[in-house]
Amino acid sequence: MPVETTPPADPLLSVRDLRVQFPTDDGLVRAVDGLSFDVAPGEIVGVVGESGSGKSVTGQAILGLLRRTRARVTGEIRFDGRDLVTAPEAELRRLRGAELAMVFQDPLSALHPYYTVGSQVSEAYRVHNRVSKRAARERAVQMLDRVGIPEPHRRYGAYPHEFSGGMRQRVMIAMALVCTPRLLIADEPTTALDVTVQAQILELLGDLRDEFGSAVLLVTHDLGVVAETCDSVVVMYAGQCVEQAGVEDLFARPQAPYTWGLLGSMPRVDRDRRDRLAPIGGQPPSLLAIPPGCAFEPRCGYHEEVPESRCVDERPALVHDGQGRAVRCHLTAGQRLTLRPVAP
Amino acid sequence: MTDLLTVSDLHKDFGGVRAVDGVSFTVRAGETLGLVGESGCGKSTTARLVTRLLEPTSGSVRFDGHEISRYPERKLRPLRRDLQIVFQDPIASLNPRHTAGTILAAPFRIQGVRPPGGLRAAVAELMARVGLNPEHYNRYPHEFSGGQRQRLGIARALALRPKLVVCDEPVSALDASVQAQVVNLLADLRDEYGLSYLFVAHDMAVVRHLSDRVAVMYLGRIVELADRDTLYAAPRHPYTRALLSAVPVPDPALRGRRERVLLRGDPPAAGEAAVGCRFRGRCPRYRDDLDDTQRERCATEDPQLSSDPSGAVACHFPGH
Ligand SMILES: Nc1ncnc2c1ncn2[C@@H]1O[C@H](COP(=O)(O)OP(=O)(O)OP(=O)(O)O)[C@@H](O)[C@H]1O
Ligand SMILES: Nc1ncnc2c1ncn2[C@@H]1O[C@H](COP(=O)(O)OP(=O)(O)OP(=O)(O)O)[C@@H](O)[C@H]1O
Ligand code: SF4
Ligand code: SF4
Ligand SMILES: [Mg+2]
Ligand SMILES: [Mg+2]
Repeated sequence: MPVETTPPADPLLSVRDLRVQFPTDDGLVRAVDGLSFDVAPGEIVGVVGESGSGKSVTGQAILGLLRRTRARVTGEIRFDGRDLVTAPEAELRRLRGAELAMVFQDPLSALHPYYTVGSQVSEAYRVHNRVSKRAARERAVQMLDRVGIPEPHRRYGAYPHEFSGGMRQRVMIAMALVCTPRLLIADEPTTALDVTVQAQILELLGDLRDEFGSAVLLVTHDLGVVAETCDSVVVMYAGQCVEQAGVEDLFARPQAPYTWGLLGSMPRVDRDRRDRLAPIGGQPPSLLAIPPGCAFEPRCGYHEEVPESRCVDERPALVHDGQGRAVRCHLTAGQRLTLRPVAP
Repeated sequence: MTDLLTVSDLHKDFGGVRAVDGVSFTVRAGETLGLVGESGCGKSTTARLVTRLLEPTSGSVRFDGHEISRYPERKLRPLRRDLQIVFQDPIASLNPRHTAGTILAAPFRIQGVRPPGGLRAAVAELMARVGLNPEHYNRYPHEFSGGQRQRLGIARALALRPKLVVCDEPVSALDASVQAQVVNLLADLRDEYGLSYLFVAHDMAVVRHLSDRVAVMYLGRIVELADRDTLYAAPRHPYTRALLSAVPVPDPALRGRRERVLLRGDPPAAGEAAVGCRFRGRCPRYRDDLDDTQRERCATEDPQLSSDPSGAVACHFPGH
């Protein structure tokens, strides 16, 4: 296994060679397979990748939610200097909610149906802060107002089912941010919502980051969402990071052939219409049998550019350039420059 | 071009809920009509009404010269050969206990069609045509990937070379890279067989890619219908404008520089009859641009879809 070069200094979260494996009847599912990336304080980092690429499992591993399952978690998840993989459960419990918070795709399943939305937000506050019920209630109303719930005093006593999908997602965000965590993991927070509501929620996330300084790990499969919301991006494929870059760099100068493929396959309303899309052929590999070389090799149109069939035999390392940019591919920098397809 | 499908003033009530509330449009022979709108606006109900999986509460559906809105199943069966549907969720629409071969042979059996080279060969050809390996004839749906299952659903719909295929979100459940494969397949099949599509989706970019004309639905009604290029370049209904401006664009350089029409509130659920324009509560134009007399009109008079040479729009004060 080639050694990975050093990342930039002082990240809030630093994930190194993270592996998550699920023993199943069919064999070992390698859901996360040597993932490395960094999140700076206050940064919004997008995690993109196709279904099954390990985005949600990564979020669950960071929060320690896989601990009491059969999953095997190895590697390093450094949060503010502490390693979350080995931290005692009591410490994780203290961090969860206070410094690490999460918003899920489906807010209905994450909100308790029998408690009012307001009491759930204030309870989330009281778990980590010694304050009176009244003070917590005030704080909750303030948060509900901040995330755009109209008439927050009155709606405090409403139940989740009385809210629309977009409003529930706002409540989830209020609950996650009520203790001003340093890292918010938002797993597809807008995927179940209509685009007009998605636009409202994404704007809210950006505003709240500016206001509270929370870093956000935004899991999505939508590159449009990333372009409009994130500062930097981690592109995942088969449980690995194949590319990390600042958002402008990623879209203007993508380096990994998989990223090229993803960008090329999207129909876009902001560009002239083409008659044909350019799909990536084939499908992602089975996580029971990830190819020993580059995981993308069976679908990659560029593996012949690399001599001695290294793409088949040798897994490329994630190489950092020291400026926040990392790529996992055997092509040389010069090759990537000349081979990269030009945007249509 | 002749009209293959003509829908007039179509209504469907579920209890008191007006899921489809006066929809009219045509699909011409060889044309793809896109149908977009937010969740719950009545797209799937429309798709099911025109394929007569549902019976309309009122209104007319004319397909290929037949008024089918009240046809009993006996009279629909021969027409189903020419009128097919592809669903969003391939796994729910394919019988899990049937192999790919059985699934694809069913249309021939049901219609009593005997392909010249034999059924098995016809099915193998069909599989090859949609990019499935004919050797997977004996596989079950769960043994295929999501994209492959959707190809199976498309192959089944195309088995008897229909005239019109209603596609209800056929690529919404697929990942970007696979979605592009299926979108290309749909375009190729259309060109090869001269198919017409009613293409239902909520993804504005995919709809633009495939459609000749596009209809925008809001709360059970069509609020705008125009040529693809006209609709995307110069949307006239305030809702169409908001919808288009909310589509996230994968270009960080445009961040903050695009004109954004942010809608407040959520799409309301379909419901009872209302007075005035049903978009009024969220309409940015009503909120920001109109004077009191104009607002009064929006509040009291339900705007009807009215056509002019550049398309049709249901708004008292549309843009140009
Ligand atoms: N408890 C589990 N047991 C076995 N396999 C699992 C388990 N949880 C997840 N997996 C597998 O791990 C892989 C990664 O799953 P994950 O949910 O992280 O994907 P994802 O990138 O979030 O995809 P999506 O976009 O569909 O949400 C998948 O193949 C999934 O089937
Ligand atoms: N069988 C039914 N019984 C009662 N109400 C229904 C039924 N089918 C649909 N509806 C209601 O009719 C309205 C329109 O639903 P429809 O499924 O047509 O919307 P859609 O535009 O396809 O939405 P989506 O994008 O979520 O698929 C919704 O309010 C829905 O709840
Ligand atoms: S390492 Fe080889 S197979 Fe993998 S992305 Fe690069 S060129 Fe393609
Ligand atoms: S009729 Fe009035 S309220 Fe309705 S869309 Fe037009 S401007 Fe807006
Ligand atoms: Mg997920
Ligand atoms: Mg639908």
